[in-house]
Amino acid sequence: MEYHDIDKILKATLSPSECPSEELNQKILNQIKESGKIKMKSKKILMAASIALCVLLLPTSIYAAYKYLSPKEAAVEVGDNLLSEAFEKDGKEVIQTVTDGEYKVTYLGHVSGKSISERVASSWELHPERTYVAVAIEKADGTDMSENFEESLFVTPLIQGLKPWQYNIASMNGGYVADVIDGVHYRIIECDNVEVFADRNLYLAVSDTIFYSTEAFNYDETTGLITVNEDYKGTNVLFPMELDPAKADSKKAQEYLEQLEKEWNPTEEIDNREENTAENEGISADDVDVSTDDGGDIVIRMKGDN
Amino acid sequence: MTADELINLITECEKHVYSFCCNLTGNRIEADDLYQDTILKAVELRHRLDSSGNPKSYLMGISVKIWQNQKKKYAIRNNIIQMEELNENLMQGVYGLSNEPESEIIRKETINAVREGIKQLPEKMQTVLYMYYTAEMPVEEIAKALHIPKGTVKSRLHKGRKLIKEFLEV
Repeated sequence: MEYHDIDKILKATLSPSECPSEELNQKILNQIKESGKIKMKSKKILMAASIALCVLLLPTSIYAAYKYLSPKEAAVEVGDNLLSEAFEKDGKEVIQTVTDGEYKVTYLGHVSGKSISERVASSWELHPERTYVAVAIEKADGTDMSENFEESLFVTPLIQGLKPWQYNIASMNGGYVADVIDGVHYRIIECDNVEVFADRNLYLAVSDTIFYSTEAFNYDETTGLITVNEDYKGTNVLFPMELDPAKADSKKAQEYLEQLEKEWNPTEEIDNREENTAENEGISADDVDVSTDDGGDIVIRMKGDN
Repeated sequence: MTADELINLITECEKHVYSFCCNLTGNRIEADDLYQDTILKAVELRHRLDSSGNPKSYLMGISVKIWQNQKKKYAIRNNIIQMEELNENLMQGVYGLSNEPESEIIRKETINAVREGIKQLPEKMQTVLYMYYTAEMPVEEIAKALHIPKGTVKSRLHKGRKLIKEFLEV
């Protein structure tokens, strides 16, 4: 047997092939946190850590989960304790990181439900079921994100089969809150509940744009699939957004889309409403004037009235 | 070394460190303990870790030191079942699955023989072999981690290979 052979045999026999189990890593993580030997410096008080579960969609070490605030912790940091409880109770932690262009983006997790946030808005009265997604965004070069939120960042769920430039967070009664902690931009977005579409491909899209960009992402009109545009020079990331398929409801989905359509085209509805009213009262649409006053409110007058 | 740098290091090296612990201890239960103690010690001593040097070597050095100091605590057991499980995983990881049962048997026998041979070697020689082949460290880094001259590392590697070769040829 030659020296070369024995070297080869030893390499083959002894090469590293074992990995610690997730339970072991979790146990170690718990001990590190309990010992307090590593503290994250925080501009705000960091809540006593609840241990993040690491759901591996990609081979992401549990230590990546340790590095960031969990969705529950992020919600506390932005001042929404109710949402924090929702993340803890019903949320799904994802902890998936992609570095693209200038940014490193981590999809922390999501949760959906009704009245699970301390934030409310009148536009949500029609859509009380909301979806919340937590992300962490850092500069790829390790420098701090701006505390004045100077960077253009657009984070939104997207739905297969729905044109993304029409159906995204901006058009689905969405919004977000954010804070920069230890140089990392934490953002919790929310929009109308997308769980009803859980039987389709759902995405979490992140781009370095102000709104949805057709340059950053591609939409296949035939399949309804959305992909990143590989030629885009900036940051354009798509994560799969895996919601419970049992929550899919095609009927509710259709009702939602119709409702949304009405919200986008309110004049059309009012015209229809007027027509119905006029018909009921024996007045035709030709007898009424529809206009808007200085305050932007719609005014209906009988023709000939002052 | 900052906390973030340490976390990144552990993430990058966990396979090497854990496999090294498996080889040193010979069974998964004690490997888990040794790995855990290594990481916790690294956290405690992270201010000594220099991210510009080779912190992976430092981790291995910590592991060896803990193993040497606490061997009694780990109560080495000649647990046949666990050893076989460890070897099964290693075989699948290294050679991949084969559709040829005979070559599979030969590979398994070779692995067992090599491992058996290594276990017969003096512990200092075993450690160097594991650091070289499992932790995939160069001679210089092994020397640094064990605080011994490079020549000593080379000598132990050379002798270790020679003895394994003789063992397999018997």
